[in-house]
Amino acid sequence: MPVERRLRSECVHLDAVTVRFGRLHVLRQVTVTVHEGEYVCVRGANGGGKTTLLRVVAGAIRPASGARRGPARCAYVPPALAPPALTVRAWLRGVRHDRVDDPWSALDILSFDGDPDGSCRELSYGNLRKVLLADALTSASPVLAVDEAHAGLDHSGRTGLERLVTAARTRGAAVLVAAQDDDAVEGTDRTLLVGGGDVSDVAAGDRGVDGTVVHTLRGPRSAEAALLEAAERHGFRAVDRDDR
Amino acid sequence: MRFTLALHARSGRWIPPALLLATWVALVVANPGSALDNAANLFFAVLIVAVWATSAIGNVDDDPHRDLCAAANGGPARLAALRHVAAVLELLPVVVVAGVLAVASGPRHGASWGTVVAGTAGLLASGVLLGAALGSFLHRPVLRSTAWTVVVALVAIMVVVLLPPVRGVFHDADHARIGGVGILFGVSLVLAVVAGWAAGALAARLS
Repeated sequence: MPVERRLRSECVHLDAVTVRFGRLHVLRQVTVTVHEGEYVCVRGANGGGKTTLLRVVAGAIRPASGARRGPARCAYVPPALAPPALTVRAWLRGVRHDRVDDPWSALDILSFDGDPDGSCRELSYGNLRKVLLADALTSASPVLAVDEAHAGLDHSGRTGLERLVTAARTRGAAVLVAAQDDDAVEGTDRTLLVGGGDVSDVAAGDRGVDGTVVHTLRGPRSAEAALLEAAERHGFRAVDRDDR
Repeated sequence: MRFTLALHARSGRWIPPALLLATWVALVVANPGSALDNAANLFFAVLIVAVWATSAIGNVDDDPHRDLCAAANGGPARLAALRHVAAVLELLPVVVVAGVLAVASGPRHGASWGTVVAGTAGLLASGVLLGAALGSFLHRPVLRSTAWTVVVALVAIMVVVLLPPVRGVFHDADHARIGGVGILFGVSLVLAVVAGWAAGALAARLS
């Protein structure tokens, strides 16, 4: 269901953010702004920095340099985790206290069929993902960052996720999802292509694979080749630096 | 903090340090010295257990779950500080029980009840605070290897125990005096607060 586009204020802003793991620059001088109610898809090759970008946006890690401006408390769904030794009920009750909706209703929407009083360790991967998604998407956090949005989800789970994302955006939350190349994410406002330490800000224009097109490529020239390659893989039209 | 304590309780990682403390307390009660001597003896056990429990609480989940909790709690620094405080809170009731047993099992040797209670409370609280201060640096993301955690913890504990102010306190306790306990407690409190802040800052930098 499309969400009505309104002029909304900035929700989270990364200003010249650099993240290093040892000598490897995963993100290099990246500047990104996400607005309230915006739905953003993050794409890129494995190891390109999608997860790192989401972790910075959600405030789970602090960049080596640059600044993050945005809410302190965010909702972040990692791609995978070792299930905690708690029941689903205890985990949902304890992990956060800032909810705007009932996580049990969200679990129904996601077609969760695990035991709420059973251990998280007994859940299948898909049902554990649904618990994480229900937790994040019912939080009051203005920023929701979901890594590998569709991982482990069946068809009803994906449909439920779309409903929950729409509800979150309607109340003004910015939603960022990371997705693999072949994973179609419907209804996004724009796509961020991540690669070579850089993030290209991809906005609406000519329609590409998921309704967006590269219209600018920012960042160091060394990152451009990786970004152009990623852009072509997604069917985007990449504008050369000299044409800007 | 309740959530962190629930995670730690259900993980079962509190059992080894709890067994160590229970064994140590049993040995002290079975071969009691004076009440203050017992408390000084238990200080070592509480120090080791506090280091162990604090590092275990810091490692209570894997990196992705810690990211999730860090985002929900306002960042890695705040999460590390919350877990540091949770460790101290978890240890306090344990120390109260150990302290009562230490006082009850030994003669006072002329020291007043006030001196014995204040000395015992000060010594054991210092053990908790010093242990938590050390332990807050001995887990991910600061130390990612359990082997290094054990090595660094042992060295740090030995250094603390051999520091002249700590040795002086035990000399006093042997003679039913509590002269340096107040200073030890004050220093431990300051170190615990500074360590909580520094460990949070370090966690934010290394996450």
